[in-house]
Amino acid sequence: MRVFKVILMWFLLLFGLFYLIYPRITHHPLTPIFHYGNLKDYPFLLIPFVYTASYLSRAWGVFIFAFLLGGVISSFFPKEKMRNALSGKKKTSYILAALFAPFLTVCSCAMIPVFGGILMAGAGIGPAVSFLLMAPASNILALVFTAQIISGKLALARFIGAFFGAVITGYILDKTPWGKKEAEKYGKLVAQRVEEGEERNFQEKSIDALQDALDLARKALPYLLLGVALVSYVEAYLPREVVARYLTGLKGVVLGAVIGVPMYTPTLVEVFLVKALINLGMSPGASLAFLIGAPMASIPSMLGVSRIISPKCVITYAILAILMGIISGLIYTMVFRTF
Amino acid sequence: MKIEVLGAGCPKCKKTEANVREAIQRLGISAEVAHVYDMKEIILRGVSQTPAVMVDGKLVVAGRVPEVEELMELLKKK
Repeated sequence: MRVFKVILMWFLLLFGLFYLIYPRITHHPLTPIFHYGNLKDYPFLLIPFVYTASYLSRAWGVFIFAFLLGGVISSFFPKEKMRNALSGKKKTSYILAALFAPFLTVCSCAMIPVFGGILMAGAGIGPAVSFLLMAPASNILALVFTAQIISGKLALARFIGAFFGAVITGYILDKTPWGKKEAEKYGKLVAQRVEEGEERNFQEKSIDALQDALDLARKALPYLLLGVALVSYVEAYLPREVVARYLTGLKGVVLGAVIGVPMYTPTLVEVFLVKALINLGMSPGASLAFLIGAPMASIPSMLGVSRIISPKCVITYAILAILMGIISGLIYTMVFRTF
Repeated sequence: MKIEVLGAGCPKCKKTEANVREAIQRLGISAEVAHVYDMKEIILRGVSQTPAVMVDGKLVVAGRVPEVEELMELLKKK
């Protein structure tokens, strides 16, 4: 039974990878895709089902791959070692914190303890905040979905924009007096370690990964499917003129970063929402601003974090994060000259 | 014996608590089980990976859901 689970885990992961690569090489999808044509041709109540079914036919392998990859990351990556590398007040801590963020936590509910762990490692509030912003804006699941549902180019831009945004925001917050105060408060804490050296072997880790993937899917999928169903009405009924007027050009980039904040839910729905808005004519720059600004300044995570650090710090990083989203969107627009 | 499960209430943390309770029941020992949900409290204890299990104030599992059999082994030693 255990061996079967190990084989199942690795087989499904490789199969998911095959599902992603196959269309890139052959230019045909692995399984048939259901095209819905014009959404408004369907009865009102059928729209969410048609829309969701279309995405499932297009991306079911991506779901398998992304959730299993999440499981593998959470059970195979040496999180303890990564965090210890962040100790000391060095400039490299910022870069490491942001680079490790996608591997340190896959699930948003584990974000705050890791944030605390970075503070305890003595890295100060700057790198801890860099981690806190990078983790939701650029976690592995979000990047895989962005690449597959929207485009690889935008996924790469999301990673780069989030990286610089997180590092710069963390660095600025570290220099503020209220940021320094928090670092002092938590800097004295000592991290607790599991006493016995319990190194899990390959088989155990594989089973943990499968279990993690299932937990992740069980947690995220209901919200994800519900979210996609609701997005169908946005794509069907939001007039193109409204999107063209508000979500293009310079105004679009600013609004893209701002509207995302109340609309963002940490369940990957943002990718599908942005895709729907792109289909209606939103500019790539505005999309990028949304995908970077919104997860960094999301209201649920801000509420959670304000239990740990002062609201003043939270508001500072949220404003900076939205600015970083806007700047990323503007740079993208300038580089690719697309309004 | 005091066993504490630390975690903000995500499904993994709930599963951990259920496994702890089952391990106690199967061993037939008496132990007090508490669940710490508060993130601040979790951080102040120096724990940075959830779900985590503490026995009498000592961290024994962090960052994963322990199986019932594994917990039984751990608790037997105490």
